[in-house]
Amino acid sequence: MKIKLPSIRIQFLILVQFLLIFSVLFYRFYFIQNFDRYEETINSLDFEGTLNNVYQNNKEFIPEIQFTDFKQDFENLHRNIKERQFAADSFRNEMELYSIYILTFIIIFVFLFTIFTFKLITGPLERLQSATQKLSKGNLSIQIPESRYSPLNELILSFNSMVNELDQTRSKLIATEKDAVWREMARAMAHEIKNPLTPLQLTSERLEMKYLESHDEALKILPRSLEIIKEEISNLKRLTVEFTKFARLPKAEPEEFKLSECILDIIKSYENDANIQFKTDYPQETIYADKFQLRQVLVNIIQNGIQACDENPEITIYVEEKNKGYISINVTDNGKGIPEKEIPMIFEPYYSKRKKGTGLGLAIVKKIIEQHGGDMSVDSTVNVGSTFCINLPIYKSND
Amino acid sequence: MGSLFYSTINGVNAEFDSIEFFPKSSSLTVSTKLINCFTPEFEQIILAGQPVRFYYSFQIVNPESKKVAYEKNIYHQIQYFHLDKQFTVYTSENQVVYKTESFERAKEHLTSLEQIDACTLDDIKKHVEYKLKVSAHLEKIFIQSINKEINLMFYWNSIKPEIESSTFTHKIITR
Repeated sequence: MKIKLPSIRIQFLILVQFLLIFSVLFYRFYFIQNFDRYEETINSLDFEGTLNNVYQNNKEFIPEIQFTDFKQDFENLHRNIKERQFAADSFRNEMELYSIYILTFIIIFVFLFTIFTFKLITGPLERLQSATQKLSKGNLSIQIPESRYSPLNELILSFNSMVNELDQTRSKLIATEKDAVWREMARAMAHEIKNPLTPLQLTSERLEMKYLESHDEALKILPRSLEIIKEEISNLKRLTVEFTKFARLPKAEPEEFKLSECILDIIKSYENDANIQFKTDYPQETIYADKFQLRQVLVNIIQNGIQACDENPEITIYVEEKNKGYISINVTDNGKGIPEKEIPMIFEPYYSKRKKGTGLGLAIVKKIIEQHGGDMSVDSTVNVGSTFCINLPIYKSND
Repeated sequence: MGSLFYSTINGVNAEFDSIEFFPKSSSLTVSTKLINCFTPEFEQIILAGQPVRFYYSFQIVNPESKKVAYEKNIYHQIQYFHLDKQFTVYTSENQVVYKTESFERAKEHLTSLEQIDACTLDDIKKHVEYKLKVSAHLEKIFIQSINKEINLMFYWNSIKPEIESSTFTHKIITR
């Protein structure tokens, strides 16, 4: 059975209380003990016995006229001794009782004072902690209420000021990023559209020129020209479809499914195109992700791998449980490989080395993986091949 | 702070034992006894030699109007003498001093009220109902050697012990 320790605050409070109670009890014990010892010593002196002896030894020598006063004086002395004993006992009782009063008062006072102090210090700290957590989740509108009497108020003010500055900086950054994205998008789109436009323009101009020279000549090149025009229009259409896909990537709808089954299903459809091997060191098999999107990721990477090979494409898919809660899907091909300097760019939109590539495939793949809370990397050697490594959280449904 | 001091005193609930009253010659005499009225600390004060008085009050009360028709006050005083090892108990009702070496006997004299003349029969009007009420109290003493005043009533939890007889009339007691 696991014992749950109380919080540091409670532990400290208990310690302070314990020390105080212990010190008061120790003081009380020490004081009473000493007082009792003193009483014992005084009582052992036997004042009364001595007084009686003095009285008995002298009463016969006292003249009768003074005897009454003499006796009264001795009587008073006896009374004094007894009264002092009574006073000592009363004092002891008082002391015992007062020490209980003091103990109770100290416990209540320390308890209230500790709570008050903790509230003054840890209250703002807890608010700061909670605010920091919210801040890390992207809430930049958070503001901590001031705590004027707390020694941490300066920290609160600094935090609020920092959050305000962060918010302003983020707004500026977002605006700048949006601007940059739109510029980049426009540039890439213009470039991609310009590529099919050149053959379209050339073909149509050639056709026009031939038509003006002779109708027969124009008829000869017409089928080929139409073929080129259709192909380029088709390229343009494909480009717009891919662009729409990238822009409107649907939200992931995760479900629990068997990863190996999904991979084997994909492999089947590429049986005739490549030799694909599948190995797994993930006995649990299940994963919690959007099955359709993960399939899209794997298809894209496998297709890239096949296209990277001139002949006899060989693909290896290896799944292993990496860190706790994460799996790694490694897709290795024997293609041409990617030069080291190009690796950082392959996930950027519209970057493609292929003639008919849109440059959006790997950008979409990366976006899907990131949307699942994972990440991906590439390890490649030119003329040997590349390995795409996808790390994904397992996200067990019973967690 | 004074009251805080007295909170250290452990008191007892002193009370009167059964009350008996009957006419004797021309008086109405009462007998009763105060019980459970000593604590070790109280006894320690007496044994120190401090004179201590128990005040007793006898009241003939009209139960309807609550008016006191007649009242009589007496006291019993105890004192211990160390040299003679003797207790003296003075009873004011008959002005007698009892001497004894036994503390128990002394306490007996101090607390016993034997055939005390509460009132004369003439004080009791005919055809009027009465009750006899006996109460006791202690007063403050000053202990000179420690310069401290102690209210002895704290040893009785500041409660006056009281006892009331059943209702009677002149006719009932003279029958």
